[in-house]
Amino acid sequence: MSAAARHRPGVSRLLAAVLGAPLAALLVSLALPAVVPASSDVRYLAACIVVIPLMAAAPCAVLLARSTARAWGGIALASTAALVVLWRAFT
Amino acid sequence: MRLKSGTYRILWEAHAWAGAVASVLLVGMFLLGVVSLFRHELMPWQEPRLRTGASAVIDEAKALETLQGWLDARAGKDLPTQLDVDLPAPYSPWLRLEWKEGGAKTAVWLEPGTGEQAPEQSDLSYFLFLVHFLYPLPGGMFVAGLVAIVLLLVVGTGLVIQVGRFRKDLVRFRPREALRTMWGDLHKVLGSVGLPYQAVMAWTAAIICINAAVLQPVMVRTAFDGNLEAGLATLGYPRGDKPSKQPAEAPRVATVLARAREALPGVRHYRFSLRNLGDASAYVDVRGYARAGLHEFTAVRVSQSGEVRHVREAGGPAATAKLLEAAYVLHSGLYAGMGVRLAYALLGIFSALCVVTGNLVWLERRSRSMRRVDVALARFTAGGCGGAAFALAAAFLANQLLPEALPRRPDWEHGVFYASWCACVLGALVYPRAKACAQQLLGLSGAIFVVLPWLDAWRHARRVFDPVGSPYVFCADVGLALLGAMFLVSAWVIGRISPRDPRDSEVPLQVAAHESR
Repeated sequence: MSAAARHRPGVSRLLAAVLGAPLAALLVSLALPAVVPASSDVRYLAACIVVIPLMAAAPCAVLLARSTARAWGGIALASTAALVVLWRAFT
Repeated sequence: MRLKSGTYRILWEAHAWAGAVASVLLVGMFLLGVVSLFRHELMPWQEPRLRTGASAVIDEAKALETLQGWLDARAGKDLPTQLDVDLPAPYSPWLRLEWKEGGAKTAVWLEPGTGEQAPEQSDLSYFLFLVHFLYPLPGGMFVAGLVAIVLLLVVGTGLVIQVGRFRKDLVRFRPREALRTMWGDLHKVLGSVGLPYQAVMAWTAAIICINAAVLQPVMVRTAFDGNLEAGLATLGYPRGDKPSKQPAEAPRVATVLARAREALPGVRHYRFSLRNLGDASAYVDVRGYARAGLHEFTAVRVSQSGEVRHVREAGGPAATAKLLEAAYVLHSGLYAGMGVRLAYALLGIFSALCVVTGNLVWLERRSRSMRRVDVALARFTAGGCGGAAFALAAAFLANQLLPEALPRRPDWEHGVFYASWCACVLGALVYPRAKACAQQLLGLSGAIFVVLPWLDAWRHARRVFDPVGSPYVFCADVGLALLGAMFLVSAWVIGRISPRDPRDSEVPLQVAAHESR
């Protein structure tokens, strides 16, 4: 298999890059203020600063991941951790 | 620095696909952004009763007296509980009043001298400003934020795949080469020139939209532990008192403005936001502009009795407010004068062209083996991008041609804009030639924009491009004609440049762009 073909992303990888990665990045940004040990304003500021670069970089990271399984694994891990933090903040 | 072949290919594909998929909204947003930069200056053009000569003087005391008379006449009868009043300004010498009546927005103009009241005929430039952020559409702000992030991704991947070749590509344009090479050169020149602007626009738009649509509602729980008051106070806009159910007369607007000026001297106070009107707990938020670097917006809250309750200085009280305000001011070019806004407008048009040329490169690359999805995407982008220009032209034309007495006239203008854009996209999907479709839409839009100054001059019995009349109308005439000329030239260029025989080209077509470095 040529290097080009090996690197050609499949449907699953594309879905991870287009949907999974931005969503996971958004969830992490939303959950981040709940765990940052700082004043309310600084926690809000942290979320404002990280959300955009994170959402832009996450699809690139997925496309450059060694395998599709690793990409989805990273998305699942980040999303689960963020959802747990958000669930604790909202309940 | 050279990237590995596989990494380069992935980043190139991400750049191309993300750009192609988001291109319709990106082109529309850039064009709407260009118009939004001059939304205040366009008001006399869209609302002819605001047109005055260059030497018109605004009598503030008389305007406040007229406003007070309007409020007092309605006190205890049909005074709205919430009212926004835009004070007279050089571009809009009448008072503008807006309130909600039965859930629907009502806006009227009030002549400051005579008290003559007239319904608002058009809010075109403000509507286009809102559509720039997709604000009127359900979930639109979130979608606009995602599109801005896609732009940031496109700019970032473009930067990485161009690293080391900036100096060469900044000035390299080969119009005699194969079509894809020519479009690629133009795309790289426009992209390299506009890269800092596009990066700033993408980041600021993303932070404005994502913050408003997603972050703020969640941050109340995660950053402020459910304390909404603390969240609002951080931004410098604390919540007002609730109605006390005790009737009272309307606030004295001259006193309110005087108090605001005492609290924040040197600020241009431009709007009253009156709340709980007719109630003893009524208050007025006096909004203002202050030139303080990247911080601009002020507010002074004055109570019914004339007591100053809250002062928000430019930038707000906390770091987050300062960041968000700086993002908005940077995005809008409000930190400097007209020169910066003109530069923004030019770069905005370059950026729209950069997206279009990127699409053309993408199309040329696939021209020999177009799959069904490629054909559909080509038609969609052609209709969408050309349709953005056409919808803009159609909305301006509707502003001229809709009857003045038409009920809810601004809503008809909005409808014409949406219907034109949708019709172009749907029409393009069934039109057999994507490039011809985009070319015809651009040509038609250009023709409309060029004709508009003459149409307006004929309707209002004035000279076209008349520097003696209203300076705002003169500048609008020139701007619309220039925009039209730009669209016409773009349509001519797209039609004029036909595919050349690849055998004549120095860089053969079958060599992929990323391999011809």
